[in-house]
Amino acid sequence: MSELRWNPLMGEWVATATHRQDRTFLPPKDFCPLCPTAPGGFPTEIPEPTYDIAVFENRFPSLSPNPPEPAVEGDDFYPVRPSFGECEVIVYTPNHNSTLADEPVEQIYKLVQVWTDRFRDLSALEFVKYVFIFENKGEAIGVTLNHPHGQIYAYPFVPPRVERELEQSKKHKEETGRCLLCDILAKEREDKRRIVAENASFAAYIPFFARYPYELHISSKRHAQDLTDFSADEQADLAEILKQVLVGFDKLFDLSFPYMMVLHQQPSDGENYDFYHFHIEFYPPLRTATKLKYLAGSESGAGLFINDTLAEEKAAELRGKIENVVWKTDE
Amino acid sequence: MHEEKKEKIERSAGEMQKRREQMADGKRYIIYYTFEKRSKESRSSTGAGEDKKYV
Repeated sequence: MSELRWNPLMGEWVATATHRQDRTFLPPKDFCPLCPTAPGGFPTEIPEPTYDIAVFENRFPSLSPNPPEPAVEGDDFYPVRPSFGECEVIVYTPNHNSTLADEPVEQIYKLVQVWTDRFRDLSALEFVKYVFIFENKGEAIGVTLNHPHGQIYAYPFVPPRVERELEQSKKHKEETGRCLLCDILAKEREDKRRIVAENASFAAYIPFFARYPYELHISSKRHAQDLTDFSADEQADLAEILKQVLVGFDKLFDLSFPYMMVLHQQPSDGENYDFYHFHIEFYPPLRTATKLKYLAGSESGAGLFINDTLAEEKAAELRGKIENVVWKTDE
Repeated sequence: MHEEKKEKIERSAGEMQKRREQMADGKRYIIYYTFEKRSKESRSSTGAGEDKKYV
């Protein structure tokens, strides 16, 4: 069963999806549902042996174009809605043992194009108001499949965290006439201490207000609202800076670095959001090689994050791990 | 400079093609993305020729 239940205390929706309790959980490599089906092997989600990137509808979706009737009836005080939406899985590569960091920059460039295509297609669906592209990487985050993949949730409303960014961005625009994220980026570039990497089109930085020790944001230098605004050059620059950051993360502790990666783009509800600015946020859960940053009482109950580190120090640490990116044609 | 970069990207990554199919359960869709490296002379329009309209 799945449905959307309204939380009047917080003014936000909660999705229930009870069927997800039964989803595949960390299967052995030979039974990975995201690998291409091997000749004579068990049927996976992807029968085709040759592809660069595959996208399919999640077998255990939280949101669906044909949602079931809600399990309970709602009322004016506790509204309940069918969980309209779309949940897609993006398989980054047929190679089970890879990670996005391990993939060549060319493959990350392909992924940027696929993200853009999916954003465009899903945004066109009438019931979709927000397209949320993300990746949960690593068992520390709670992934249930280790094959390199990301996800897309196409929501029937603008999710609360993005809504808050939109409100802040709109307020800043009204008060100053400027874009909030353009101002954040200008401040970070002027200060320099928290900048991790830069190229012609994008900057990666651990923001002044980082909540996690290695929280990192990638912002476009040009004021743009979503992926479809970017030229081929900008897509390539995005791939390059992603490659640099992902490899840098892995080099921090010489391990495959777990993270949540989320793309923040303008909503797809047809309204004007020219005051908003595209960016990507990473929330890595590690604070040392062996210690996790938990969302405990203050973070979960009060909404106040306690960061045990200084963004300036963590940015310098990560900056020291950044390497140049080599395209195959450069070799 | 920009032309050089664009050329470099096209040569190393290829051009996006996509093919949409129904999955084995008959309910869900899968989209295969492939990137074919083509010469300028043989290049045609990108993409979604075989893509089915979402219903």
